[in-house]
Amino acid sequence: MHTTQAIITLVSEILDLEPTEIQIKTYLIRDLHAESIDLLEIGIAIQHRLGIAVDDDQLFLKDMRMIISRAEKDGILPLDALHVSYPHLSLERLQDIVHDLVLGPVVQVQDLIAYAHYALKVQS
Amino acid sequence: MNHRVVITGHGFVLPLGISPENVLFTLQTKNTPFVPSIHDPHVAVCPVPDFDLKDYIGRFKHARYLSRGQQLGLAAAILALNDAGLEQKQEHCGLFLGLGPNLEARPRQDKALWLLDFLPNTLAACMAEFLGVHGENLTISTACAASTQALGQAYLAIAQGRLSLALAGGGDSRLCLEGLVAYKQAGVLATDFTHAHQACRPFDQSRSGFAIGEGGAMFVLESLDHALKRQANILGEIMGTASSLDGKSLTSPDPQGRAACQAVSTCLKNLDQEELCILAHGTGTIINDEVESQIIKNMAPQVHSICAFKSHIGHLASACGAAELALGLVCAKHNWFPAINNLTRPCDPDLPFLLESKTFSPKTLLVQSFGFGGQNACLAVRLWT
Repeated sequence: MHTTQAIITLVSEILDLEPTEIQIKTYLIRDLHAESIDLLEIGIAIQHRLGIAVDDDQLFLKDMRMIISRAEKDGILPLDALHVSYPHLSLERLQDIVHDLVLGPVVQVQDLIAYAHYALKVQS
Repeated sequence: MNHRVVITGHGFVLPLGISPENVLFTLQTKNTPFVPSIHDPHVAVCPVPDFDLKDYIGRFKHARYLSRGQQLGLAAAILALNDAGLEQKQEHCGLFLGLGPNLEARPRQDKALWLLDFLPNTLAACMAEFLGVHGENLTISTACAASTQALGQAYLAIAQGRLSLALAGGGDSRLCLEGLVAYKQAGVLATDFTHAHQACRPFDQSRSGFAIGEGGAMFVLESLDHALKRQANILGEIMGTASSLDGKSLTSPDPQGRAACQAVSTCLKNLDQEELCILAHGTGTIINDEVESQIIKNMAPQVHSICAFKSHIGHLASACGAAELALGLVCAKHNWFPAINNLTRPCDPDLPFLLESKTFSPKTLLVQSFGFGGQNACLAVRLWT
């Protein structure tokens, strides 16, 4: 709960929004219109406030399409390849993301929270 | 110079207020906005009360990269466009800003793009995005001459036919601890006062330095043809501009004021001095006021009146020229100019300093701005009747 609140707070501050406008299933780019510089700030803020190392590519699922395309070329199940690259996301969530890709950028607030939880767990 | 250039809108967020009415009321009631600094009670400051950029633009996430002074400038730009009766999204509008450094900027672990806090053109980028202006632009950082020079450059761009419409001015705030310490160490602040409103004493024999102010002032400039075509309300016509560089000291003006005299004389060419009101730089420092008095005596011996608005709003650093022009236009419109605060024993008894508030109607205003580094800029504006 603490992590969830911390992430919602920092996203709201960076995007100049009310925290109540941000739910865990809110899309960062599709709903909140976050730009690349906002993502940079969100990555740094998570790193700084939660004390975890953040890989922006992993946090914002930037290589997702490339991972899927490479897996298909190599005859690997895309979901398996994604699970290796994004261990913080559940298979169920990855499945949703794959179906959702066609509609645009997929990162939701819940993905940032999952990343932070996973990083904190690994760290401890 | 084929095109006449007029001012058709002004917007300001100043310690005296944000509209001509409340600025005039505060000046006339002598309701001084000077207070002791929260960082050092021995320094007088002149803050803009209750400023929140959100009141002007609502949500704006990029505000996180703007200094308070830049935010004051952005708010003033919005007011200027409104005053000129222009919609935002003026695609071909130019943008000319006079800005200073963000003294609170630091490399930060918690901010990815802290570099933007340092870059002087961040405000221009924000204005272009928010206001939708995409024409020729320039961000000028020539210390206290900056916003006057920005207005001059906008004037030249329109006069030479490169633009027909431009926004110009500036915003600055140095009330932060860093600003206060910097000025104090430079030895330019008045510290020998009992009440904060007595700190700034331009052109008085007892002057000892300036008081720090803050604010933003922006103007809409257009070619006369453009303004007439859209039936704009014309406030004044820019008659000339000039700038020069002393090359004598990194802080003090050249005691002979040679380069500044050159700029002033260029600006005054073809103007009738008998109906001229000079909006003096008048910081209240010993050297500035001494040199400036001499410049006026040499270059404008027939001047009708000399006004010093820093005695009413403090020193707005890079934004001072724009702010003082805004106040000059408000006062001229109401045919009334305030006395220079705390001026009882003029450093030069022969010059027509405003010792008392006065009802009169100048034909022309001359803004004089002289900054650190020997930066000189001036701008002549003929009032529209």
